[in-house]
Amino acid sequence: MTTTSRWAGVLAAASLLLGACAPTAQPTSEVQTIVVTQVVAGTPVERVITATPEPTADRSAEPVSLRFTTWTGNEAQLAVLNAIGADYTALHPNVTVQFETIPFDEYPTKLSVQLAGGDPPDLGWIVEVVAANWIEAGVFEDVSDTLQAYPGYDYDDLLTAPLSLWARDESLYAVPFSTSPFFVLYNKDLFAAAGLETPDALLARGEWTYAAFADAAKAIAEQGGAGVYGYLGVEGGNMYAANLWQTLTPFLWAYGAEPWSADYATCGLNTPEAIEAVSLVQRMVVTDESTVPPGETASFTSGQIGMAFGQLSRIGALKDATFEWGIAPLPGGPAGARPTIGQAAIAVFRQGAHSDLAADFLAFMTTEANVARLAQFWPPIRQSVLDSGVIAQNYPAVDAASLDAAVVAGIANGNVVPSHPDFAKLDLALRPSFDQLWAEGADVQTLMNQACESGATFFKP
Amino acid sequence: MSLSQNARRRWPVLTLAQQDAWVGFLFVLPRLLGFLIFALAPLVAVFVFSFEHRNLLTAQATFAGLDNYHTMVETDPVFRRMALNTLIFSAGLVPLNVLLAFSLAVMLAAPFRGVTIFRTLFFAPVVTSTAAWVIVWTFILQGDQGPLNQLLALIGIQGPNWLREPASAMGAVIVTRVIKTVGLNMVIFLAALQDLPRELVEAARVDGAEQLQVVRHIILPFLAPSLVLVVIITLIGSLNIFDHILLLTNGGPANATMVLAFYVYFSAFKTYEIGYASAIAVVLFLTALTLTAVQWALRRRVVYLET
Repeated sequence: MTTTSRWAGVLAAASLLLGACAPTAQPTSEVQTIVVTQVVAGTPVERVITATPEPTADRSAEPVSLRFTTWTGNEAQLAVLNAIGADYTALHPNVTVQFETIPFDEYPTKLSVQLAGGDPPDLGWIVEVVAANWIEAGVFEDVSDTLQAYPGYDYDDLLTAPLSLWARDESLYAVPFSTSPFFVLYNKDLFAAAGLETPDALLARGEWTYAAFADAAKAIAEQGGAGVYGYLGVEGGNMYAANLWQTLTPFLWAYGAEPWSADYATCGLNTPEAIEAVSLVQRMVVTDESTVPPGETASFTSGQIGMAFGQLSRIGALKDATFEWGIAPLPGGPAGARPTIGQAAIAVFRQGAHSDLAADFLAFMTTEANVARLAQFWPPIRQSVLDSGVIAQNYPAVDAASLDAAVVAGIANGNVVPSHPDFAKLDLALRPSFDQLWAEGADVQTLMNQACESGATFFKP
Repeated sequence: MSLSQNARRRWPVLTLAQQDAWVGFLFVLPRLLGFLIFALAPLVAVFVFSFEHRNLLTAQATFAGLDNYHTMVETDPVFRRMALNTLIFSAGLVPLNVLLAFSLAVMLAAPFRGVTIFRTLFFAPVVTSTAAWVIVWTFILQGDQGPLNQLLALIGIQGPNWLREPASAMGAVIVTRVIKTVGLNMVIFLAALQDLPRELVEAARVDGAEQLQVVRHIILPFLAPSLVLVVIITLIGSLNIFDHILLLTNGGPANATMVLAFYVYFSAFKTYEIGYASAIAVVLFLTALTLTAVQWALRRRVVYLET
């Protein structure tokens, strides 16, 4: 470490439960590096994180307030965000960061109205589903150069595959703060009652496939009787409506199908592989009646559901569960296993009044040290933070080996559910075919042909 | 000293009538400004936007002429589907609502023990929040596990999955909306019935008129002005239906319950095509205006007692 006064920084071990870290000394205007202590697998490890002495832009001493929109109202999460903002202010006393909460349901709508009104935030959280559309519309600033030039940033530490949704050629339009793989939450009690082997046991033998998944769901529903189902779809969501693509995509990928090609040129829903995958889901819903039927609501936490697709954010709700549960990676299929991830990212708005400074703050916020702090709530996209064992530390209630298999490997190798620049319109065009899929006697091939025909306008290179 | 007298002192050159007019104008000015800024200006803006290719995200706009209207009519199958859905919804909701409201008003106009309880019961849904209403009905109308279908099962009927099957979803939306709003129309009819001279009904009965004849020849003509009003506001309400459908079915299944007001929202805030959304809104506005004008013009053929 060179010059400079350091932020002698050691945060109390208690605050580092999470492998998170924070500076401890009072910063001065000469500060160039931060030293933090991070607890990795129970051992304190000192890390040196370089910070720029001044912002890369807007070097004037004029007071600047960066507006940062999020959808979290969780006080603990906001406390971490504000702490990062305060650390940035410590380095750059003329800059403050104001975090503004907009409820998730209204988030894209309110943000689009702010953009239209010429009053966008400087930075904001962005959910994956609007990524392609908003990037194509030129809403976000390309932050690639700023990140790569930021001292000590280690750009190559960002995992490539999960970053791909936000990258175009050499440009990068947002940095994911949450890269959360889907996994199978399963009720051990219901598996035992149905006399089934657990997904972990099947996984160990290499037999954890969607065919086995469907068979297990059927057995659980049959054994459990009324009100007990083998499969729910996405926990906290609706597999027939808002979470249709998150539910279907893992099945499609496991069978070697894509809903549409990466260049949006062709529809893949009526290929033989896709038909096989969709037929399996239809069998579970219509023939086996092993899934929660359309129109009914249920939750894995009720103890009446054998399996659900879950994410780490759902684990907290299970702390008072009266049944034994576990997690397993998503099953595989003829094309192998391909993890599916959900993402949310931080973007800098091009129209913002301080976009250069906002990009600088984004770089600061996504350095290794700050990603480690954020990782107590949101699965990180940095390989180094992932390797630090932060996930296992934050979720002690879950078996560490299962977390490694279902989450850590999922983040490193996963892909985001396919997006499309005209996703809303495409979804509207395809939806009627899928809604008809859940009726008795519906022909999958016919409906998938119909879906591809309905969406033909949007499948052009 | 009154405001009017003060005004006269300050403006000696104006006549008394002019001074009164100015004072009156000043009193209505705040409301007028509010209307101009918050109602008329957005309405004009919507008309202007409808002739533009305007994107909400980029805030860029270019003149489009009639492109948006052309797209709507010629090349957008979704619009045609939504227009048909809107027609079905209005055609189902308006007659059902008006007939039920009229029937309830006639039944509850008579003073009998417990009448207030019944009136309150039918009016209560009007003041219930749409979100709460929808949550309850979503639960009632679930598939096999839903209370309604379990009730039907007791008498050997297997009900559909009301909100998830295209054939039943629109019917379910209409009925739940009618039950939600019928109380308001009932109150309008009830208020009008309070003014019905009892001697007219009694005279008819003395002449041997049956209840249906009393309704047909006395009550109905007497309520005709209220009937026109109720039909107009119910029709306009049916064309603007949005939150109820958004929460109950989100336009599904198979887009069977997606109506034009929903499509305005979708185009503006999901695909960010604010110009196209404005064009749909203009069509919706003109449809409501035309239908209202037609009903207003026809009122003289059905209204006998209008003063």
